[in-house]
Amino acid sequence: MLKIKGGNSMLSQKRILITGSTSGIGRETAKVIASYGGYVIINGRSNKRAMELQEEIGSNNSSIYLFDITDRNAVSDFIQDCPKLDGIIHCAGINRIIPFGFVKFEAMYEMFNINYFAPIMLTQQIFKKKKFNENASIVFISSIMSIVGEGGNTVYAGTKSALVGSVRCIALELAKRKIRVNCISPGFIRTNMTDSEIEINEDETKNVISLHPLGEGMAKDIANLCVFLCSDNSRWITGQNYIIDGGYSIR
Amino acid sequence: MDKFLNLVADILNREENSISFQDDFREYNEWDSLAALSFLAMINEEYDVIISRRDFDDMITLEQIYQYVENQRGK
Repeated sequence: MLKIKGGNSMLSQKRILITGSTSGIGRETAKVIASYGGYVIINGRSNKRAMELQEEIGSNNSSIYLFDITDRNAVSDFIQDCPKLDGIIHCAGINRIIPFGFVKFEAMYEMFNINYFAPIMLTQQIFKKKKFNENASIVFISSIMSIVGEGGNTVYAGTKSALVGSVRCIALELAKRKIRVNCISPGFIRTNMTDSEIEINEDETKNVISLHPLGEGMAKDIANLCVFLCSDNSRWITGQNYIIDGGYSIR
Repeated sequence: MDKFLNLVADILNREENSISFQDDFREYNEWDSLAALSFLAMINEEYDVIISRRDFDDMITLEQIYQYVENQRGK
């Protein structure tokens, strides 16, 4: 029987893997999930940053598994080792701004590999090895670029839209196992995802923020919905794409 | 040098003879943030030079950019 919990114990007994949790939205999400009683599996590539995060949220309610989600061997080692999960939040991702005329296959493959292929295959492997508990919840962090466009984002928008399309199909297939699958599409959130050779300057950043009627968003704004989607309170929600963008897309 | 101006004209969709080295390129009507990104991508693709955003924002004329690219390539 499903027990609906609220308050700080909303996620008690929930063990949740958060990819890319050593920085940006993933890091904040890990902290918020833990604050609602969830057990967090920290994942990333930097041991130093993972340790720092674990120090903040405590080692009673977290463990660290460092691996690169695009490395298939590392992923299968992780799945062998890992305990059963009640959820995954896919936060690992990159954004490179590439004007359409300069798109190259290699850059396209790299971005799709990290943003789309790896999270989909990681989810599939965990599913196949029966490492999901019943009522598990899977959340993919997509982007507002899955529903609106912006110059320079041809490839990024492709990877994030692809997630939204696949999520509906995976949700249908996993529904009979009572596993739910959803996307969250954030507007512009300032993080250190400056993994780009072409940098955006401060004026351009301010300009993008000014297009959000509620002003600048924070990673926490995304993390709060992750909490709800990982909790049993969202038991009848699956296959959806939630827009959190401070009103960016409503004009 | 002609090739450089050609490439810049191409990005901005302007006639080649409407562009000169002394121009403050940010004054062109066609200049916007996407043009800036395309400009930096072009320099990376054609000259294998990455201009940091800070350096780029400090330069005013096409000649300064061209000199910067030539210096970086010489290294």
